[in-house]
Amino acid sequence: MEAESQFHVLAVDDSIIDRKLVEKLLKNSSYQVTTVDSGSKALEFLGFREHEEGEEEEEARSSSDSPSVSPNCHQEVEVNLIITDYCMPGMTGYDLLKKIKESSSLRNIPVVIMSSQNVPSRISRCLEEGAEEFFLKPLKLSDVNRLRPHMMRTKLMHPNQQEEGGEVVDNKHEIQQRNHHHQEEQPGNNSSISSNKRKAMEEGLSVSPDRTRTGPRYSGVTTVII
Amino acid sequence: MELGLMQRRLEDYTKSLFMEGLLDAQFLQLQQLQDESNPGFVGEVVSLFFDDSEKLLNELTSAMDQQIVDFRKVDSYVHQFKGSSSSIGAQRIKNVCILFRKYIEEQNIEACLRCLQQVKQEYYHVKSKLETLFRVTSLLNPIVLKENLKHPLGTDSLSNLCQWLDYFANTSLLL
Repeated sequence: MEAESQFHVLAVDDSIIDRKLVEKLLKNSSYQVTTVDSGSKALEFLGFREHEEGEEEEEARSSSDSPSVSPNCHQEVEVNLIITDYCMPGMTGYDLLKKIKESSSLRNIPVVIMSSQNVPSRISRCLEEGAEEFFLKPLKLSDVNRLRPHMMRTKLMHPNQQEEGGEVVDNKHEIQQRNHHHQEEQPGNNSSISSNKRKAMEEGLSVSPDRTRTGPRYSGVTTVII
Repeated sequence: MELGLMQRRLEDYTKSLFMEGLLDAQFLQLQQLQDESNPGFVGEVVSLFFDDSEKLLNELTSAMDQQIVDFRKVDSYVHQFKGSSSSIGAQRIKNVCILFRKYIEEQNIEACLRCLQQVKQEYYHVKSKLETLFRVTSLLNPIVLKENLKHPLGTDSLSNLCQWLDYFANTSLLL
């Protein structure tokens, strides 16, 4: 196994049963897993410090020339993907997603949302806010298999790829296109309910592919705060 | 062979739980997730489910027992129960929860109380079936293991074990 296959996933869910399930699914796919039972614990684990964001950011980046932000800046540990339940007491998965995408140090970490309810407006809201995927619970192995490309993308943006500045950006676009194709193939598959979670959202809604992609916000587009 | 008969009986018992609609495909997913690295996985999840459910049912009962029922609270408990039962494949419990939530929305206390009764019944029913399943499985496992070691020429059910033993032999981990 290559070293890069040791991705670390942070799973957030208030249900102990679902935490155990998602942990096993992820471990079976050879990911390192940390589980927490709330959004606030997740932020704590990620080393999120709301008020000091600005100053620390500048200090950390004084030596970096790259416009891309490494997730390693303030975190105690590197997290390659966050998977969170939507319905949680206190901070919902959506709230957590927003906080992460608003954080300059954390926004590059791909976030995936899970929910037991298939609510198209909820799904599109999450995707527009920057979630990479929206899975219906209970989670399946086929869902977990969709996570790798998102984690691979962040690895390409890692600081030690800095010298290849231009190439890194190209690679990212290449992968975005591949993912876009993957996305387009899905609507054709009508056979099972679980096969295309996006389909629920796509019925009657048109979310442009651009807005469902995240990655580094080079363009400086601000997130919509509802 | 008596052992084969016992195994077949266990398989039939498991199958019946699916046929009765007590368990659905999600339970199969759990079984598929279980592997050598964590052979007690399904048992652990089910155990967690039992603990969690007992707590939930107590809270639910107490919430429904109040002079003035806090339907939002009740709904949150039922939502949780629906989620956990769905996660382990306890189909009948999940279905009662769906109905329960409908009556909560209507604030129909009588119907809610009926659902509470029903959800308890379904819970104890599936609990007892699963406990039997695990009890028999755990009794069977040591026997199966012993038998497999006596007969190294494996059938389909033994081939996995043989591969496992080969692996150990090749990596010199066998004592």
